[in-house]
This record gives sequence, structure tokens and C-alpha cells, in this order.
Amino acid sequence: MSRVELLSPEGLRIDGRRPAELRKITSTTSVLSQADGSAYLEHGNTKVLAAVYGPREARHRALVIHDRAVLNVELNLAPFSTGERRRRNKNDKRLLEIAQFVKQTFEPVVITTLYPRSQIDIYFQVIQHDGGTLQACINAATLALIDAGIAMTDYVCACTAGWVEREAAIDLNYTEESADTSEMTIAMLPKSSKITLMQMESRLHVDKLDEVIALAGEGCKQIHEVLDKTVRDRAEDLARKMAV
Amino acid sequence: MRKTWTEDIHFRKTNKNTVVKKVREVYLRKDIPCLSSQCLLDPPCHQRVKVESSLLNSEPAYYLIPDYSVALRYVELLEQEELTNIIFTETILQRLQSEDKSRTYKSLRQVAKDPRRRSIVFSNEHCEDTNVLRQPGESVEHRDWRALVQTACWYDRHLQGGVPIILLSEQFKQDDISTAEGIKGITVLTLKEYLEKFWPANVVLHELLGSLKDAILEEDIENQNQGSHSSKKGSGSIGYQEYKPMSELEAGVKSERFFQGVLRVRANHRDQAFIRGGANTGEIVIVGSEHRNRAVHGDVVVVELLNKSSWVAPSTHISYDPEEIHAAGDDENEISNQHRLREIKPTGRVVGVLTRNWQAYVATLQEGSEKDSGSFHLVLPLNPVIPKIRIRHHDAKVLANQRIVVRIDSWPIHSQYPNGHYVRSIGPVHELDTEISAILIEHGISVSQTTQGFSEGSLKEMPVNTPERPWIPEPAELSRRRDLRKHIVFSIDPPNCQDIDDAISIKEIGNGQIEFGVHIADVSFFVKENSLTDLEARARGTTVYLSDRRFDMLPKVLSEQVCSLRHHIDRYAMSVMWTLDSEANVLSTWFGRTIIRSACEMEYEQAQGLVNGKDVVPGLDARVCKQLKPSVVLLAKTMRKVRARRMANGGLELESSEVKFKFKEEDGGISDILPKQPLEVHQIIEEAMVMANSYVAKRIYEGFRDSAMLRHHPPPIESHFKMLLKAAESRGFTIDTSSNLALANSLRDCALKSQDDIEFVRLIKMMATMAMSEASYISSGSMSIEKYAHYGLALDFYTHFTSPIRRYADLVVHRQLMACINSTPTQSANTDSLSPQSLSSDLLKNGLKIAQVADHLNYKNRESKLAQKDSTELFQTLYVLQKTRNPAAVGDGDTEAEDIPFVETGIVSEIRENGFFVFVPRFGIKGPVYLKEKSGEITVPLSVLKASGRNPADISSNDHLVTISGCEMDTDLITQISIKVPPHTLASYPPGLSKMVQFRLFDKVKVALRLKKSLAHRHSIYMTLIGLDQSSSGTIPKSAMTHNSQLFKAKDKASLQIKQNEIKRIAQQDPALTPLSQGELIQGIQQGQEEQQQQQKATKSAKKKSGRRQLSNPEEAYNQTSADDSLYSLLESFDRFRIIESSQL
Repeated sequence: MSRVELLSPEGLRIDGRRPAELRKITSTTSVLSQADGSAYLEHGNTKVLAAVYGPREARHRALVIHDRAVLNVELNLAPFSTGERRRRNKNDKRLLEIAQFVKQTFEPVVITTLYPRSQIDIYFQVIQHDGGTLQACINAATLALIDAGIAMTDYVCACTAGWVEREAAIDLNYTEESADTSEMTIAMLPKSSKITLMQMESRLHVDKLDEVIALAGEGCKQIHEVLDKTVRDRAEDLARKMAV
Repeated sequence: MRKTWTEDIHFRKTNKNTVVKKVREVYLRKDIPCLSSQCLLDPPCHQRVKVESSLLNSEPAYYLIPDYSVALRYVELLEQEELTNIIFTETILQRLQSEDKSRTYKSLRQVAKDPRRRSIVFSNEHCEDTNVLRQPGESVEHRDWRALVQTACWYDRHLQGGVPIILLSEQFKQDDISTAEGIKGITVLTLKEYLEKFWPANVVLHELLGSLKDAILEEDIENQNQGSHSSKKGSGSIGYQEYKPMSELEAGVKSERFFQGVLRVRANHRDQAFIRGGANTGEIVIVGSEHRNRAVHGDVVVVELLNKSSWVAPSTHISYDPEEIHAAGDDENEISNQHRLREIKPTGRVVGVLTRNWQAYVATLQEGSEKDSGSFHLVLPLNPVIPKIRIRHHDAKVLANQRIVVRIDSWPIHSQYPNGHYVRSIGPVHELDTEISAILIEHGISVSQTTQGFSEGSLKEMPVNTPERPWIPEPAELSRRRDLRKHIVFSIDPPNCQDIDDAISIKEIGNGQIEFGVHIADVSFFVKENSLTDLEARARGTTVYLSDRRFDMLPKVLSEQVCSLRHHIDRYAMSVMWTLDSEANVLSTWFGRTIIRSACEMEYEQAQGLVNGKDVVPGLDARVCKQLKPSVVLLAKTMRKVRARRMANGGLELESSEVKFKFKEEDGGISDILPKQPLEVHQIIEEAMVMANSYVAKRIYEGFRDSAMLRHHPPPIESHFKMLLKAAESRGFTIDTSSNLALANSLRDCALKSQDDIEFVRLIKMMATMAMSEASYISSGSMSIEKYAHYGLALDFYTHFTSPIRRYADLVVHRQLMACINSTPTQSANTDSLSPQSLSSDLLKNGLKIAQVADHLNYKNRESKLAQKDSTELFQTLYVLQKTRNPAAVGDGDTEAEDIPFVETGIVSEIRENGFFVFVPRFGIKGPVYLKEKSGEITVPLSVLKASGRNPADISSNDHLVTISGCEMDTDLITQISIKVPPHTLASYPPGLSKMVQFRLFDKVKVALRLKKSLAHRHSIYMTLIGLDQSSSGTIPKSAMTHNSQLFKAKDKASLQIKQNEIKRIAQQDPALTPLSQGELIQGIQQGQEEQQQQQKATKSAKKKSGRRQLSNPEEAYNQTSADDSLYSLLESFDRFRIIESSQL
């Protein structure tokens, strides 16, 4: 039994990328007409749909906060998103955790005080899963929130990085994630370079930490460019339509 | 960067037996480099991306692209060093990995990694132009083939047809290239066609191909057979069992149900193997081939423990015959029934093999097998721990009486022996050159090193030094170096030393201060990092010294000329200069590059003469002597102080049994074996080198915290001292092993109290050395700082700095030191295009890479030492062969017998169940003496009984031929073994015999050295008992062999006193001796005393620092460059004994 070689001596990763290269990103906004804002985002084969509802009146009285809005995040992993069809419980702890991370990431960025006594819902549907769900969700949420016109201080761009065999590598795919690599997700405000989320579940030698964080930060900047372009394209498109 | 993107879709079966569709992205790139120096782009494409790979040659005849069928089954052919410029495609590598051929995969990677092979891996699957999608209905083979053709076409286009490309395939033909792709520059050949076309004269390759084909054929038949009746054979008569599935093994090891380790087979008991399992189990014994379950020595195996009731104790027999496999098996039961004192060890059986470690083995066709008409033959590997191998060869007569190289291919479950194939023949059995080649192959010493060959490219890098154009320093370089040509620099080496890598200078500079310098040949100046010479040297690792030849690490022009610090010539050096105060404390240290001019190449003997106060020594000019004497004397004085300080810190003084061979000029026969003569100068030089090494180690550690190349020597494992402690106890000494200081002190104490028995002291010291751990190179980053210490030398930091000509580690250390002192001259004109500066500093800084290099060097070192040991043994047996065969060589003795008894005195050095080992100090030979015959009968020669009886006088010369059988034997396995002759047997012999003989550890015995002749193995030496040695203290034997020089009488009273004590001691030890008249005993002992004194004179004990007479016969000294002269290196030389001994114990 041979372990998969994640990084070949030629310096290529299993899918042919070099360690500091992102997967192909494609994104569009306003894909759903029912929702106030929506976005569809692909990181390679990881595909996520995000929908934002609100700000709207809070469903439950108990949740109401009188001076700001409440964020509510729900995540659903489609049964067909992985190779083996598997229905996931809605209360799957891992999914709840990811939702919680997204919520924490956006709470300081969304200017909630503008929307007192209201609620903002963010729903995710993971259509295909190939590693980096959290980063895809955060990036999709950014687009959807912008699409919904909700006030934010900055974009939030998330990126994973990890230590693959002997080098720091960015944007790990499912094969790399599942081979016991230490993986870290960082969410960053690109303008101020502030980090709003840093999440890691595995062990990583402290000597390598700086390198991994630096690489993830670099990735966030690249992702920011892509997201920004999507938003601007959409805006230009709208402007053109309105002019007509 | 724009990336094209595709998807790789395939189906996999999961653990639950469901089929899952796996989708994987594949990014296609434009930046995959062709890695050819022929690349026409500017800049060449490999310079645009960071790559660490060798490059395909610039002017090759062709590039080779093997396909999967070739890579999978003929990997061994691809491993041959002749084949270069191979392009391995990612296609075949991926397929090898996905089909679990990790061993083949590793071999291919190894080939690509070796810079001399000029071979590369091309990531064709990720290259935009070469990626090929599988078409509907297309088989994997065809897709892969198209991928290879695509790659070949790409290369052809990329290099614009500059290099013809050969696709090697056993499966596809030229016609299989579809016309659309067909390009002129591509040829498809089978291996046979290829070899015939390009290597018509290379028999080795052709033969290898032939035997590989045979092996494959056989394997195919095997597979078919298995397919037809697989379950029937299962675990047939041989009793091998299927290996457990990998997942179960891994889970088992994790849960500690199974144990994982490297299987080691005991050299003297092929039936027994062991692994060093987990921490809480220690050693696990595996007895019998059934339990070993097809694992071979060196494999990584998983072992399951047996029930406690079937645990056994490892045998303590001396095996009788290495060719007999199951001999020990029967005895085993017998012993365990007897419930001896020995402890029972955990016993297990192999349930799985994780990694096979099959190598090339040297073997011999089984005797008589050449007459068989079949094409299958059994061969006996030279190494007794390897099982017989079944090979297929069409003409066995060719192989008879030849040493051949074979490889193991597989070991099917129903086959008693593994299947292998013939690789090549080395030469006729028992011929010196054959046997030496065999040693080299067994120890993995590469062909390029043994033929002394260096590639043309690396020879081009060498400086020119011919008689017409001698090498002289460049003026520009001179200005960068400290000029020490005014200092008196001298070197002390063995006579005729060609590669002088160290020289010394010392002078007083007033205020009682001394300036002391050690100057080492500046090899790193000539050998640039990552140059071809450097890569070759790194691969070789070390110069290999065998008894009669050596194989250099560096080209001769460097090792013997430009780098060698010859006298009266300007030479570059790396120097360490200390300012010492009068007590030899270091006041300041300076490191740097210098230029020196040695005043004299001194020999050890000459230097010793000067140290002893002589004004003129033979071989040296009187004027030179006068000039050098103050320096040498000052050096001796200073180094004694330094050494004393180090000894007080716990430095060990250990012993070796190293010997030197003296060869006859005319026919290359061995004229004599000489033990090493320790002189005080050896210690002095060694101390200077140890000092330089340790200061350099400290310096490079300061500069490279994470990647300094250091040498450490871990403290020994307490349990290894068991033997030493018991042995010392039998003589009434206690040895404290708690620290190196304590050990050194107790050994010294031992030596002082038994000055009358230097052989005992020697053996004790040798036992101590065997308990030592192995010293090894490490990268400072890979261990914590407290582990850097050197136990044997009692130093906190140590490295190797002083022999860059013959050790690669020193070269790395030189470079690190240069980087530290930050005076690396900017790369001069001969900058190598292959080594950008950035790469070079990369290696020195990268702890991981240094650790890799260190591991490689450790391996190379160990193998070269083992090879050295094997060659010593080979020559020892040759010597014994000469002595027992040729009547003319021995003056007297009975010539009727075919084997002339070759009688020597030895010491009992180890007691075993059925006999003991005797060490003959004169020749450094250790061999077994069997008291119990193979049949189980215990015999003892008459002479022994007579000797310990009343009348030692009437021993006739033939008594040792008469043996008394039917005796009883008893032993405690550590300190004594005794034989009782039953009275009724005794009655039939003349009276005056003793009833019992007891042999104790360290007893002196007379033995006849004999050779056990063997076809399949090297001859081995064994001994038969002749008698007890009459003069029971430190004697040089009085046999026909020894230089029977005149005895001289000891007359002083002190020695008489010792004699009295001696009598008492003997009386206590050996009751059988008491009746002997005191007069006789005194006579005997007197004789012993005298001889011993004489011997002491001859060997000139180094511990006594007073002047002694010089060695009378200079010819007796070494007649070739010695491998290692330092005492420290003795310690290292013991590493190899330790390895071997421990695998035997």
C-alpha cells in the first residue's frame, strides 16, 4: 500500500498545481431571484450557493436585539455533493460548527447597528464538495451580502493553507485535506489586512506557522481580486441595463 | 497565469465494496520544463521555474523513454549505470503508484535522483501539450501508450528534432504510432533490439536482460498456476502462511497486538532471526523458517507473538556449518527442555511484510547442480543469512564454480525458496579478485568507485598538474589567504603515504605562549559544491580501504597531488590556529584559509625517534632533524597535557585487533600478518586532530544552529555491558559503567593491576568497545543539544574536519566553516554552470538535507568498514591457507599430513554451549573451538588431559590427534566450561591423566588453526585444541611461526615476586595444577615472564611515555596508506565489530 504522494519531487501537487497556486475560481451573483442577495462560487470542484435574506423582522421575539441586527447562518451539504451519496443530518455537528464560524466571521464586519431589531439570514447549499468548504462559504457569503446591499466595512476573503509534505501549500483540495495534512483557514479583511477568523484543527509545528499564515494571507488577497471583479462586473452590468 | 483545466474521472472500489466515482481536477500547465540542456529556448525552460533535478545531457546520442511494460518488469536494467538520459514519464510513475509497485517506483525515482545518470522525470500528465484524455472504449494501456508517444513528439518538436528519441516498449511496435503523430525522430524498440543496436558488446546487459526475461516468464507461469488451483496449495507442506491484509497489520501494530521491525537473521544461526520490537518487548525471536514465513534478512516485517508456552531461548551454540540450515533446530528443543540458566525470550512469527529489502546478492551454484539438466537451479548466497535462491538459467555449467550476482524476484507461498534471477558472473570461486569484487558488491560499493572512474566532465573540473605544467597557486588567490609559508609546517604519516591531508605547525611566541596550528588540505577550494566531482564524491561518501588496495573518493590528481600537503611545495590549506598558554589552555582560536609549505613529510617512526630524544633519525636529513626536533618535542609536550585533560574528563582508551598484512613482492602472497604497533606519536597526532575537530564543531554549530554537520557518539546501552562485567568479575575486577569517566577509570585500574597480562587487558578493552554504541554523523537541527556529545572522546561537540580527501563529511564541514567565517572568495573563473550560488548555500543551511547527507554517509561508512573487515578476514584465511598447505613455509613440523598444523597460542574469549571462541592476538584472528562434535559427542584431545595432568613432559607430538570421546561437559556460558572424562573411559588410556579439564574465560590455550573449506562461502577459520598453554601469562607463542628470537633473562627481584603471586593465583584457579612441582612451575612462569617482557618491548606500550627502543625493523610497519591512524578511529573501527558481534549474540 503506497501512500499518495501529495507533492511530487518536481514540485507539483496532486492536481498539477504548484504549492502557492489557487484553484480556479468562478463566481456570479444574483443567481436566485427569491433571495435578497445570492451568489454562486466555485473553488475548483467545490461549489457553493449562498443566499441572503434580510435585513428583515426577526422571526422570534426572543432573538431580537434592540440596537442591532442578528445574523443567522444555516448550512446544508447536499447528499449528492460527495462521491458516495450520503444524507446528512441537519444537526450534524460539523456543519453547525462551520455555520458558527461563518457567523463569527461576519458579525464584526457587517454593520449590524444600522439594522436594529432585525435579522439577517445567510443560507448555504454546498452542491459539490472537494475541500475548503469553509473558505468557499465565507467567500460566497461576502458576495451574497454585497449583492443584498447590506452594509459591511470591507470584503471578507477566506483562504486555506496547510503544510503539504515539505512545503506550505495553499487552497487544499479534498485529497490533500484527507491525508492528515495540517490545514488552516484564514478570513481576512483585504484593505486593512485584519484577520477575522483563524481556524485550525490539526497540529502544526510552530516554526512553520508563519509561513503558512503568510501564504494564506497571500491567497486571500488573490481571492479578493476575483471577488472584487465579480462585484464590479455585476455593478457595471446593472448600470448598463439601467441606462437602457 | 492561465491554466487549462480538465478532469480526471475514474472509478474506485471502496472498503465497503461499493464502486465510487472519483473526480479529480487536473490542471494543465505551460511551464513544465523539458529539463534538457539541449533546450533551444532562451532562457532554457528549466531556468524559468525552480527545479531541483539533473538535466538531460547536452550532446547525447538519444533520449530514452521507457513504457510501463519496461519500467515495471525491467527496472533492474534501467538501474544499470550504463543507461543514461532516460525520461521517466509521470504516466508510468503514477501507474506504478496506483498499482502498489512502490519498490519499482522508488527505484525509478532513485535513478532520476542520481545526478550522474542524467535522467529526469517529466510531468507529462500535467503538461498542456502532452496530456492525453482516455477515449471512450480505450484501454488504459493504449491511453498510456498514446501519452508516451505524445510526450516523445513533444520533445521532438521542442528540441526541433535535435535529439533522436527512443521509446522502449515490450508491448507496442513502431506501427502502433498512428500516422498522424508519426515523426521521424522517434523510434520504438524493444529492449533486445535496443541493446543489440547500442550495446552490442556489453555482455552484462545482455545477460541481465536474458535472465530478467526468464524470471518474468516464470512469474507468468506462476500466476497462471495460482489462478487455476489457488486454494488447494494455500499453506501446503512447507507451512508458509498467507500474509495478513495490510489494514489488519497496520491496525495490529497500532494497537500493539503485532510488532513491527527490521528482520535480522543471526549470522551463526540461520534458523534464528529477531526483530527489535517496541520499547516494552525488546527483542522478539523468530525461530525456524515456517515462522519466518518468507521474510528475508533486512525486510521490515510485522510479527505476532506466540503463546508464552512456546517461547524459547536463543541458542548459544557455535554453529558447525554455515551451509546446514536446520542443524540448530533440533538442538533447540533439547536445550529448552534442559531449562538452562538462560532466559526465555518473547518468540513470534511473521504475519506480514511491510517493505522488502531485497538487494543484489553474491551467490554460488549449489555443488553438483550443474549436472542437472533442468533449467532451475538453487544458488547459495555468500551471506549466510540469506536463504537459498532458485534461479532459472539455461546452461548451469557456465555458472559452476563461479561467484554470480543474483536478485530475488518473489517468494510464492508454496515455494520453499525464493525465486530469483541471474544478473551476472563475477569470476571463479576463491580467486582473490573475485572474492574482493564479491565483498564490494555485498557492501554496495559502486562500480564507478571500484574502477576508480570519474566521468570526463568531472575530470575537466580538475586542476592541471603534470610534470611539464605543475600546479602553482594563483597570485590572486594568494592575496586572499593568510601566508604561513614562513612557519615550520610538517606532517606525520605512515610511510609512503600519498594522500597527506593534515599538517601541523607549532612554535613558541614568547611569554610562555605557544602558537599551534593544524592545517588541513583545502579540498573544498577545488571541489565546488554540486559540481560533478562533488556529486560523485557525495555518492561514494568515503574512500574505501581494503587490506591490499584502496578505492578513492576523489580523483587522483586531487587526492595524491594538488590537495596532498607534500613537502617543499606551496599548498592551499584550511587552518585552525590556537594561541596556547604554557599549560596548553586555549587563549584564542583562528580559523581560515591559508597557504603553507610543508618542511618535511615525516613518518611516524621518525617522529617517534625525535620525541624520544634522538638527534638524527634514519631517512631524514640531519639538518631537517635539527630544524624539526624542537617543534616535535614541543608538540608532544603540549599534546600530552591536552590529552591528560581530556582523559580526566572521561575519554576512553580502547583497543582494536587491527592487523596489517605484509605482502610478498614476487607473487602477491601474504608473507606475514602484523598487529598494529601503537606509538606515542599516533596519540599525539590524534590528539591534535581531535582538538581541531572539536573546535571546528563548536564553530560551525554557532554558525549553523539547525544544520551543522556534527558527529555524535551516544552513550552505550547499559545491558550491552553484561558480558564485560561478568568477564571482569571472573578475574576479580568490578567495572563501573555509570559514566564514561567511571568506565575509563575502572578500565585503567584493570590495566594497572594486570600489567603482567596484557592480553587480558586487551580483551577486556575490546569487550568494552563492543558494548559501545555506534558513532554517527548528525545534522544539529535533528537532535537536541545534549545529544551532540561524544561519549568516547568525552567532548560536547565533535565533527570530522581533518580528512577531507577521504571523507565527504569533512568536505561539508569545510564548506560550513568557510561560510561561518564569511570569507568565501567570490566564485572564481571555474564557476560551474550547474551550481548557482543560491543552491550551494541552500544545502548548507537546510537541516533536512544535511540530515539526509549525514544518513547517507553513515550508511556508506558502515558499509565500507564492513567491507574492510571482510577483506581482512579474507586475507587472514588466505594466510592460514598458505600456512597449512605449503610445507616449505613452515620450517619443521610433520609434513606427512596434508594439513600442516599451524599452532598458535590464543585466549579463550567467549564461552558457548558447545565450545568456545579463541582469540589469537598475534594475527587478530578469532575462531571457534568445538568441544562437542556435531554428532553430540564430546571429545577432548589427549594432550589436554596430559597437559593438565602430572607429567607435562611426556606429551608427544601426536597426542592432539588422539581424542577421547564420551565425556561430559558443563558450562555456565559466561566464565567457564569444563569437561569430565568418565573413569571407565579413562582406564583405557595410560595413567597420569587428569579427570577433568576446565577452561575459563581468558585462559591461554594452544590451538591449531584450520580452514573449513567451502565452495559456496569464503573459507572460514576454525581451531582445534592442541593443549593448554604451559606458560600461563602473556606470551607470544613459541610455535614454528613466531620469530623465535633470543630470550633474555629477567633477573630483578620484583619479577620474582610477581612469579610467586602468579603461582598462587594459578593454584587457586586450577586445582589440577597444584601437584605440579614448584620448580617446574617457576620455570614455566619464568619463561612466560621473559617472553612477555620481550613482547612488551616489541609492542612498545604507548601508555608508558618514557622513551623506548625504536621498532627494530622498519619494514614491519605498514606498507601502504593506512585507513585510520587515530586512536579514536580504533574506537570507530570497533563500531563495526559491535554491529557484527551484536547480530551474532
